[in-house]
Amino acid sequence: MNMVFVLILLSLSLACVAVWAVFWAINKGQFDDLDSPAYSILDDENESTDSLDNTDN
Amino acid sequence: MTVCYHCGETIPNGVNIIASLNSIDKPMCCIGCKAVAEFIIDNESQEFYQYRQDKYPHKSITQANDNWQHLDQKSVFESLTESTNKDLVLVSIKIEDMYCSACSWLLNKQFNKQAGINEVRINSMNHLMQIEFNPKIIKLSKIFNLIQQLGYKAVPQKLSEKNQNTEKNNYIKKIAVAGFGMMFIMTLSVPLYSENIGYIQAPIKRFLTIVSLIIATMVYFYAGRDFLKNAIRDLKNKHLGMDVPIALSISLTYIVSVISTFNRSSHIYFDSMSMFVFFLLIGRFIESQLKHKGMNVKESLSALIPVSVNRKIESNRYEVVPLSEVKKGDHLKVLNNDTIPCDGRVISGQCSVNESILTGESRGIKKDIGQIILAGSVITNGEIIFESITTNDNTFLAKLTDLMELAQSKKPEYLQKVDSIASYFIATVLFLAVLTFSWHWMHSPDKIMLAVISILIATCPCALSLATPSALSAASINLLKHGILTNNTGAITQLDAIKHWFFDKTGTLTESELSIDKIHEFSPYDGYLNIANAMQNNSNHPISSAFRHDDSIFFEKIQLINGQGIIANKKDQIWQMGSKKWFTSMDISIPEIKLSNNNTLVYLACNNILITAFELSNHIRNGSKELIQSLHNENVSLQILSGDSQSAVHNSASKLSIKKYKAELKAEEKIVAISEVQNLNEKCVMVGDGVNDAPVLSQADVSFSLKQGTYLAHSASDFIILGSSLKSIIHARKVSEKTNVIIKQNLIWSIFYNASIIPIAFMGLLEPWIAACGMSLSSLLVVLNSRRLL
Repeated sequence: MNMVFVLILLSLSLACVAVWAVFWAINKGQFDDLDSPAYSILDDENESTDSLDNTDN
Repeated sequence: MTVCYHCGETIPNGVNIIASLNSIDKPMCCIGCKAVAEFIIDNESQEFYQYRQDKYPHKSITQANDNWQHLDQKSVFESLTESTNKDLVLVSIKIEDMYCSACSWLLNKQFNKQAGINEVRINSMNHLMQIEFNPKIIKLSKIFNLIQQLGYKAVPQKLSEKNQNTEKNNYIKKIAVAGFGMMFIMTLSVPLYSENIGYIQAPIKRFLTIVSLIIATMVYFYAGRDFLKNAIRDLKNKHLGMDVPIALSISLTYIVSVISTFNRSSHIYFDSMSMFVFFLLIGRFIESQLKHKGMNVKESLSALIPVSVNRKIESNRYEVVPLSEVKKGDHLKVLNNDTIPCDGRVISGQCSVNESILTGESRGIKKDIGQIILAGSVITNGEIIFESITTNDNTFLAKLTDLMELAQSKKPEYLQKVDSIASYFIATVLFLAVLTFSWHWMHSPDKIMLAVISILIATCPCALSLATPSALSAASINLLKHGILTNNTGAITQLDAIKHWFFDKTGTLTESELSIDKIHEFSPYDGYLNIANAMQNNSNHPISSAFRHDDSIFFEKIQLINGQGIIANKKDQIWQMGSKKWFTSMDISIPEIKLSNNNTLVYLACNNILITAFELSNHIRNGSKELIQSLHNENVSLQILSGDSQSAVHNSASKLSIKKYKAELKAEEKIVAISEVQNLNEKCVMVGDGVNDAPVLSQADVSFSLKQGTYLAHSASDFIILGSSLKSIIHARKVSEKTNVIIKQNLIWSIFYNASIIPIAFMGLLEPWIAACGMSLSSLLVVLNSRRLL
């Protein structure tokens, strides 16, 4: 029966981790713009050649 | 009819600009669009055209000529940026004319390519772009130039103004805490509720209750603190707000449950409380998201004046300082084509200024030593040094925006009305709670808490408070899909019932650009049209819009005479182009021309010999006729309020079959015309575009402005028409009608639900958790009903 205490405390700490994760995401600005990041998938160019091409900018 | 490949605007007659994009020729409406399109293609971002959501036009783009060098000055730089890391700084830039995600994709792509840029964050909802960059590698001025090259207008944001997201983020955090808390407590409640299914040992039961208590405490004090704070504030102000019964019910539930936990009695409602807080927060969140979309007048003011000025330190030495540091009595230098930063008196030099932003008069006004100049006006000719006579917050322009804010705040807000209804509602709820309490106290004391808490939760005005905002938010999304940006959602409900419509003429009912209607030739000369086109290239007078762009002809010297005309020298020829008055003053004889349509006349002469006269006219804007027709069918009274001449207004009015019109009105007289109707307790709609319309747009109950209009007019109006056609207003009226129906349904439902649940709760037959579920379901129904507007 003591297992119940352990499991509940364990789930409580998991819930705390979840809340912390949400807070972290909010502070990182993950919820600031829910619209435009959907378009970032279209940006499918090769990053490394890109930066080489444009060093003269 | 061809449209510009870049902006989607109809290409004016006579314009023939072709851009070769990836060796395919595409038609363009102006040089600006051509430059932008070529820039985009050259930077391999052609997907922009494929993925943008709509073809609503950008404002016709002016060539990038703004110089942002002043931003690199140390003091200005420091006032705009914030250092985040050792080498990196963060700057916030407001991007105007950004209405879709493709725009932010384009900006993102361009900036991620640049060396020295660490991170780019673009929020297409509030048009804010945040760039983290290394100032040693890329200059701030270069960033602004790049934005401008892409055809957007960049407005530097002061550090204090940029954190609009904080409130939103706080809401999400609270919702997260309340949501996780709710789920956890509910899980723990299952064994407590289902005692008859299996036997639970007393210590376990106690343990579950105490864990619930800990979580509920976090939910109550963290997620619920706004309700508590607002309720205390409302009580202090002797005002019965929505938050009073909410705070009362969550506090009562929480305190009763805490006491019960220690008394080991069975009145434990932590689950109901956190569920209640969770759903309330979601409702509030939706509501607050709506309010934030509107533009604010103060923000648009800062877009009109420069962020920095040239201040004199000693004779002939100037330093660049942020505008906020300018004190009364400072000597400031302003160059040609710059905007005057604050009100002042000219102390040396002379210039012409364009005060159209303040007065609507686009003619240049001459300013000599000793004369007063006003912030927001633009120097069109010359450069001056002036002494500031006010600080930045007290300029004439600031007062004008204050006036607009005042006019806006006087508007009867629909939401305020709901708030006052809610206030009665809340008084009733509180009265019922007291009644329940006293009745049960006398008859069945063991059910007191159950009944009181159920009553408070069941009658929560949640659905009521969501009824209007959810419908308005859905309606504004619908309008956006049809090319209308909603600035003030409250106006949607008023629109369809209004019986008085007022229109501005120039730029609204008619196109702001002129076109050549007829050409009268007097003396033969080959290629006079090319000469005229080339001469008008150099002018920014409204008349030049009638002539197409042409740079094939070179003049040795060109002179613009404000309000009169243009003189150009080409070899031994002196070309003159201008008004009749000016020509008569130069003794050039002009034969009488019989005008058919009250058109404007411009004359062209070579070496004092009259060559031709151009007859220019305004075209009726696309969709004007349809709109007027549809309003006529609804028996709406229509009137034109214009600053234009009597005959020109008469002409347009008869073309559109509008019977009433007033011409030659100043901005104040337009306000008077509207307030005459308003004094009869009638509401009115104003459709306008110019800066001089801004005050009258704020005065009207509902106002529309056009995308082509100025930013000041946009912030003063409730709706902004994104396309070039007025037809979308017809759609807006339909949406408005439908929205009112939906709101009515929502209100009836929420009142019906509350009224029917009260007797059950009163008798103590309703468990608090069922009350909370019922409350949420009724809110959900309201939100789903509103979605029908999408």
